[in-house]
Amino acid sequence: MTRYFFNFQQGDACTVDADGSEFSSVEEAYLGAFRAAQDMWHELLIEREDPMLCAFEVTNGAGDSLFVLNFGEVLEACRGHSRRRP
Amino acid sequence: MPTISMKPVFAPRTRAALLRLGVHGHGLDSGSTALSDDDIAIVRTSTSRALAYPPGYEFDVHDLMREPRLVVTGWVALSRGLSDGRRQIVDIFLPGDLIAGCTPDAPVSGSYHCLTEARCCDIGDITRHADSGRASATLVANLHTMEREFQARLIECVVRLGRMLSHERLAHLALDLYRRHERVGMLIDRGFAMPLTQETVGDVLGMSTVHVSRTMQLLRKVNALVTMPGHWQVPDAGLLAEYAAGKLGRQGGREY
Repeated sequence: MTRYFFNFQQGDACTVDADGSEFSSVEEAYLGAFRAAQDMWHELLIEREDPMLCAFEVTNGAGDSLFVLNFGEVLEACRGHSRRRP
Repeated sequence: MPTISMKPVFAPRTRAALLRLGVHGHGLDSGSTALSDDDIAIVRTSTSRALAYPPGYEFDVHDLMREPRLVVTGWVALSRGLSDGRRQIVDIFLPGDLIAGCTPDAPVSGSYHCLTEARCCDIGDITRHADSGRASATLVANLHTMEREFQARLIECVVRLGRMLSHERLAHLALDLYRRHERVGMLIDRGFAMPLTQETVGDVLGMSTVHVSRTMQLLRKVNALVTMPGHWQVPDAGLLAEYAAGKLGRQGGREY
């Protein structure tokens, strides 16, 4: 297991993840970030904050940036899966 | 299935269980009613026969129905698995708690498993003594109180999962654990030993691992909960209660 750090960006503000979370691979860390974005999406809406302005920048223990997950990707993942009700 | 060691457990490890059943001491009564000497003898016999179960050990629900268990040390969970591999932990049984919800003829739902190594005693003897009239009404009443507390915790769990925001859920859980450790004199440095991983805390709170981590840091930033590896500290239980009740927002602003 490797520890990854999920720095949270909201507009111009950034909250550094001091603790991190353990995942078995970068791919699992991406899925972890994606699930967290799904979790946080509705809470941001309740607090009248725009999820589209949010992102996770994920780094390794050395501080190297591995990927950025924009919360908008949660919406993009829904495209093509929506079903029209009769 | 893991093997069970047969080592007996002696005081002071049994203190939480004894307190909850009504054997008072250390200036604590844990909310139970004090027992007679005869009852104390019955209780001491049962708790001295605790068995050790390894982490992950899953109890047979039908065994629990026949022979109710009391947690002497360690943590035990009641959880329900989903078809895609996710799980929801709906209650945690701490030292001194009756592993409840397995009363005879009750519909079986969920599984009971050890989150840590746990020592549990079979309190079937106590219930049998109660049936035969050798255990007093006080002891039986203390057991019923523990069962009612289990029901109350389930209601709190439904509210936590159904209505609370993430920081409220974490504060609510931490406060519950804090108060339950406090009443049996198990607080250490204004906190308690925390054996759960972020992932398991996520299974309790219905949140993803990364979201749990982020929420822990949020409560730490406002000094409501200090989460360290293996230990959670509550610097100000009143402040934590305000977060649990939704009176304070994520950034510490008053909501109402």
